[in-house]
Amino acid sequence: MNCDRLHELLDDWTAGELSEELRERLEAHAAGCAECESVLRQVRDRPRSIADDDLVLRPVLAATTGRTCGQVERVLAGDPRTTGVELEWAREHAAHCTRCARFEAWMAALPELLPTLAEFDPGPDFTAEVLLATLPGPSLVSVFLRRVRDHVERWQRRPEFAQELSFVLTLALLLVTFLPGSPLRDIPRQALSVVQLAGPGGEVGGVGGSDAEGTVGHELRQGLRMRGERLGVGFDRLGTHVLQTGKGIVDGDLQEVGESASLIGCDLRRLWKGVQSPATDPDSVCG
Amino acid sequence: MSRSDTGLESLDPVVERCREGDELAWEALVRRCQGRVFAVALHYVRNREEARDVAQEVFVRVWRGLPNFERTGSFLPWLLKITRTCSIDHVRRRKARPPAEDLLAEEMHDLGDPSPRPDEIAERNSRRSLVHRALQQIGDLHREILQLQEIQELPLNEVARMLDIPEGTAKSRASRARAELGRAILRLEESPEAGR
Repeated sequence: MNCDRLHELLDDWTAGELSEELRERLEAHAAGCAECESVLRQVRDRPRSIADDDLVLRPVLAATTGRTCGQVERVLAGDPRTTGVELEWAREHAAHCTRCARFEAWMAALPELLPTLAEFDPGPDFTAEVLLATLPGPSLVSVFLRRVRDHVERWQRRPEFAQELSFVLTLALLLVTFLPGSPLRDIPRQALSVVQLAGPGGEVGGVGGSDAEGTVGHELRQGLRMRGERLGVGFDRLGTHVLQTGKGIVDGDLQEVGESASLIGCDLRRLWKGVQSPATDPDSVCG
Repeated sequence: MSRSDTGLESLDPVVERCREGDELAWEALVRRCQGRVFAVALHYVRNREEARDVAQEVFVRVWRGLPNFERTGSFLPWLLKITRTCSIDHVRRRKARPPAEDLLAEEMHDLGDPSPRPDEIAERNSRRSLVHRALQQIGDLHREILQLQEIQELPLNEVARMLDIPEGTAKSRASRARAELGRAILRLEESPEAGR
């Protein structure tokens, strides 16, 4: 039903010649359209003809039972005590009573309209707030690991990071080469002796040197080469396991973190043994 | 909007998954039911912010109560019963405070309307607004039974059980509520502010 259709049906509606369904649709449209409602009101309020039965009925009801609209409303609202014939009488009344006709139209429209009020949007963040209040939060360990990761990332992004790293590495190099008991303590001394044996323009173990000098130089080179190879392999392993540990921290995989940390411990022990005595098999350290 | 349009008829498997601790199912359940829970809370509390708090409290209670929810029962009446209880408790708690402002019809935000034509939407929204304003003018008892039976479309026996009254009483009360609502609508239509 739209406004144009309502105007087409206006005369039939005034004469009461519309089918019940069409009348209900027309009045339901007018109930929600201010313009059409105004048109209907004007038509309703026109002076009635002499033949209108209200001219007789109204005074009779006024002198006897009074207006029956209250009872009609009760029936049209679906009172469970209503009988079929009462419903018929009420509809007949509504056909002659404009107010009850509107009431009837609204009663017909309510079953469709009321369920549309069943839902209201509580707002965009409501679901997230409910989930936050109900679902369990992350474990303490994963929260700690996440904080460590965030802290490390923030630390790495600082401009002073490269300078600090260089300082720490230099300090570490000094510690492993000069402190008493450190694994590389004798390396500078051996390197110095190799340089001294070679002499100016000479070559260790070469044509210009004695046999003894050649043997010492050869052993030194062998020892240094073996240490270098062991250290290279050891640092490769260590790097791989450090990466695995980092990945485990990022993923929150505690098992992987534990396993990688254990391997890092083995790698460090292998490095230590390998530097101290190059002839030791590194795989024998951790099995 | 029928109940099947909102997916509420297929809630049982979702509820079952929630009982097993499925968090994604819980989120889906909250999304499907939050509009109704909020609407019922709003009906009692009549203030958007407070109704939102009540609705959140309802879902917390539901989450904790899911292990005790009887599988043979229907979920929606159980959910709305909790909503009603929480809302009434909230209203009792705030009794000492000044009454909250009533919700204006213009503040309504529905959760999607399947009507395709703009003129039909405009007409229906205008009529919805009128019905909504009329609902604010009728008595609490009548408004409550209309909210549960006509708006939320709960079965009569569930409504009677929730309100702790016989089914016959619920039926006649609903009819009187419809009559009062009809009269309120007619009054609003006849008032100078009807076009609001």
